[in-house]
Amino acid sequence: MFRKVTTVNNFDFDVIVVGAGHAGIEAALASCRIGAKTLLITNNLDRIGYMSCNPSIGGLGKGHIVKEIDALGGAMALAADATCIQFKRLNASRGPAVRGSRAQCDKDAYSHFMRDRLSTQQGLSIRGFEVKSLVIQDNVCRGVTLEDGSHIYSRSTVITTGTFMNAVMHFGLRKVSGGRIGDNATIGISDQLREHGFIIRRLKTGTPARAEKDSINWNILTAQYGDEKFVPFSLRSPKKLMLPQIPCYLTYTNEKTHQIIRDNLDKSPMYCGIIEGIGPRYCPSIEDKITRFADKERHQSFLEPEGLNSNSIYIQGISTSLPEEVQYEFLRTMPGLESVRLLRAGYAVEYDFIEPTQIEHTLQTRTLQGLFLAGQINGTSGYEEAAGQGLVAGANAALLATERDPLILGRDQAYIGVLIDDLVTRGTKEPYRMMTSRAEHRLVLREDNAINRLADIARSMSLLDSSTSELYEKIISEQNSLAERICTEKIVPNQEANDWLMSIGTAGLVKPANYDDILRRNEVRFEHISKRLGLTEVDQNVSDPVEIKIKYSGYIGRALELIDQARKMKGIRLPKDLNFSKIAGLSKEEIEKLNAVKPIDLGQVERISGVNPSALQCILVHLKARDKIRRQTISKQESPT
Amino acid sequence: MFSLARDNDTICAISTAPGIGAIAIVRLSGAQAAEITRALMPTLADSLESHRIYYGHLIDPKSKELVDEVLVSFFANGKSFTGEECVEISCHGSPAITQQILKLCISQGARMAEPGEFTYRAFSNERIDLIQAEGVLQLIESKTVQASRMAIRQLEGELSNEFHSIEESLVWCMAQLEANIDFAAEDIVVSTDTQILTRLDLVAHSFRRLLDGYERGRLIRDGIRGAIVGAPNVGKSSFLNFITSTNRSIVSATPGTTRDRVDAEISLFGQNVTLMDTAGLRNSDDDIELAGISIARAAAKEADFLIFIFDVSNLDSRNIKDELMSLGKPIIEIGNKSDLLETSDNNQEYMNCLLVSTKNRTGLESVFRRISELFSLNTDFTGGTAISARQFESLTKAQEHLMRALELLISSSSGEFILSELNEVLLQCYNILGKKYDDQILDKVFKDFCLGK
Repeated sequence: MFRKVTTVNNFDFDVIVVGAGHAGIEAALASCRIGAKTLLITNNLDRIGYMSCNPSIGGLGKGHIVKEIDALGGAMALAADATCIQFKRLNASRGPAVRGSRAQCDKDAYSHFMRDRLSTQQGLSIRGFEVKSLVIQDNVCRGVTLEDGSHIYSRSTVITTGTFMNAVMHFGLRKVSGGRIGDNATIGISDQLREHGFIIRRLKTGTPARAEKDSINWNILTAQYGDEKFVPFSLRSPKKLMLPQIPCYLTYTNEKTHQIIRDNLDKSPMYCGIIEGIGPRYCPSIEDKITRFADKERHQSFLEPEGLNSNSIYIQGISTSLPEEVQYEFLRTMPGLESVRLLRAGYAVEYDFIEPTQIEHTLQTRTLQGLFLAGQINGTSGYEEAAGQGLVAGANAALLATERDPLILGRDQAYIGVLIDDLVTRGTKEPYRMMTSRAEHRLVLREDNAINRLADIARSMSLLDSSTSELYEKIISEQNSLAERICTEKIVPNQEANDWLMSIGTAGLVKPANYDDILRRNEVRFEHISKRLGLTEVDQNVSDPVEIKIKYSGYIGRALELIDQARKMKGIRLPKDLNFSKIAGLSKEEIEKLNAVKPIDLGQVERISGVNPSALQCILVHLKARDKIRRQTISKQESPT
Repeated sequence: MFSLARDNDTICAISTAPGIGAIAIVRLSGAQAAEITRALMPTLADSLESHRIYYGHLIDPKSKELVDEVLVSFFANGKSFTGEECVEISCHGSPAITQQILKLCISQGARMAEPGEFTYRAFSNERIDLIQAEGVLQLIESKTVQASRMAIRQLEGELSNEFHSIEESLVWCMAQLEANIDFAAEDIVVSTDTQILTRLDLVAHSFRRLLDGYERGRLIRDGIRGAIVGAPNVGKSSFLNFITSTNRSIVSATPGTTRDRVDAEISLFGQNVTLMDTAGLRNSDDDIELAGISIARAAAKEADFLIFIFDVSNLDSRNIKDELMSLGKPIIEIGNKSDLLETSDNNQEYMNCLLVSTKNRTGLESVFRRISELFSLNTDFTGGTAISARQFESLTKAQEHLMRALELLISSSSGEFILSELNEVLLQCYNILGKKYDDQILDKVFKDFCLGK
């Protein structure tokens, strides 16, 4: 259980959330759902839930996180569904674990949706303030200090300031303080944290230019449409689209474009060594792309509308920090952009982040009790990664304030669990983005089974309102009865049955079988079976997980065995006060790393780079000895004197 | 009280030093130690006396085949090093045998012990104190460090090239497959399944060579055994006498003279090679001859290679080759009595065999050369004795997973399934190299592919 915060203060709020981006929103909402009196502070009330970069939610690994947020009662999935203007299921032809949903959203509508959501949330206050610093007493964070010097006190505080901490924007060689165009940098908090011993480093990210819609020659470009079929992220969303769907358009760079960029590299802050922060390797600037992959003749770029009625077009794939006039020059060599006008040039941002190995799995900092961090401040990138952390941090801030057990998601339970464990165990050198390959148990962490993985834990933490809880329960119970029906219903090898089997393109039977045996065949789909069994209009949220579980039972079974094995071997929790320097047999390097990360279980010990497998036995012997001493002390105390 | 679910497992490990010794010990500790041993040694008594040694045969419960003749020491619960029920199986020191025994123990419900786990249990059960336990663990820790240092040192040798290219190929293939999943929506060109298949095939080939090398290491220690087989009266015994320059075998013109098995040893490039002369294979009514023939068949089964002799003047004697082929052993085919061949004869049909005349004592060098080639006796080889029992185990596991991955790739399964197998392969390789997985695949993806929104 969370340790009680001992204090005499009168608290204004249980939880204060600083920042109203994707992390802050989920943090505030989760905190309120748990029943904590919550204050959300942002320095720009017009930019709540703002999509600062690309206009999409989801994608591979990220779509998984959105569905997990939905299973945990969060809002991101609902917002993405309600404001979707193009939907795509990536990897639709591959196995079920690596299919990822992605929605391009109307940015303004998305922001609006979130503002409405927040304003109707019970127990939540929202204020437009600038936070100057944290109130810290005896290594406990007790609230925030505003610009005017006034304090607001809280039992716990969640910081979700994104890229704003000590942020500097780069436009060519010109540097401007600020976290995003139109927003001030947050100065003060990271210096204060540094004073308290935090290791703080710099990262860099970039965003491409936005073009004026009517300056683009659309006629010569190829349109790219989304899927015909829309499958909402949220189980709570209506099954139909709310907004009209629109295409994106494809264009390419060419040798001329590359030449202009090459000629102007001396004006790129990245190449002049002005930017010291490390940028993401999966999202390089166009300068980077043409330098590192010099033999590639062209790079594609999608022109993505940022909204139905918006005049702003996101020039995907061309993130850059070259000066505006150079951007004009090279963009105008690209088909369709010959006479492009920019609403805003692309630019790079450098910002402070907290080395995340200083944070616990609850996202509470190890040094300052009551202080939680979520989102880009922890070194991640992406709306979904931020939102997932926000939900966990907000929930734990509220759970701490109400003195309850924390929410910790395992690597075998959720992508959010993988994300947080990677951050707190291994830290990060570049902005961390989720990918399915990061999840060693990816075969069981699928989009389709998010509620099966998380609804129980969400319910036990009071993260679900009653109607959501009932809905999830109903879907799961329908899944169970459907699975039961398919796995027990017999099919006997008579003429009629074999005719049916042949008619759906599969071999006849020689001995009786159950319908799950039939469904396991490659060529058989759930619809074949459901039609024959008279199961009409089965909700896809019910049938998909059942079909997948049956069809891929071999792989899934093996994956589950691995999980069981890992839990059995490494699931033991380590005491919080364990001092690794006292454990004999560990090398100096191991002790250093273990004391820095403070692993919560043996599995985490193993994942720390530079720690040998034999360290596990050393730790176990030490724990055993500790336990023995404790028991002896207790029995001494109990024996009569 | 502090306890772990895993503490209830029966654990097993090879307790003798890796490599080849006269005998080796496989140790089991845990509540099921005796039960598991009994499943492999049906003759083991129902109730065992502590600190007693039992003799018997270990049998593979599935195939019913004999694994080894062993001595089993039993230590009752509370009376062993670990404090738990313990069994020590003393078997012959060939790694192939210890590995098989270990595998059988695992198939009966035991689990491989983690490094230091026997010590941990001894401490848990208060058989040793903290200082002793820490001492042992320190030793294990330093050994692990040493082992990985050794792995690195080995990496400077010839074995290194082999493992570097294995790792490189695996990481390359996995990066292709991962990129194709996580960056499917991007404008990248990943390699085709055929290109991936080709590289994985090379890895499988390397694994096989390393495992064979290990097997060859065993052969070199235990000696290579060749059975001389063929139809009656083709000159098998004469050949043995010729090759060993002795009169070990009785020779006569009467078919079926050799009844019992006659063994003789020769030395090739410092390597002992045992040759077994056997009765001629044919249908017979004679009980004694039949017994001899069955001994011959057993010898052929036991041998590492066969010397098949036929009579060039009686080509019917060549027909039983097909029967011998079914044993799946390397065969050196020898046409004897080449002195009876006319020089003008077209020797086309003897293309694949060696011609020998035991009478004129010709053709022996080519036989020596062929045996040496078969077992690479005249070349220095690496990879054989260089890999330890633990490495052999990892390599065997890696090979199993690789085979499954290849199957999945051939049947065009979705990449993540192939990757879940390849992941195991890579982990086993890193095990061997004393290395940890540290985002090598993602690094490769970012290095090789131009990604970016």
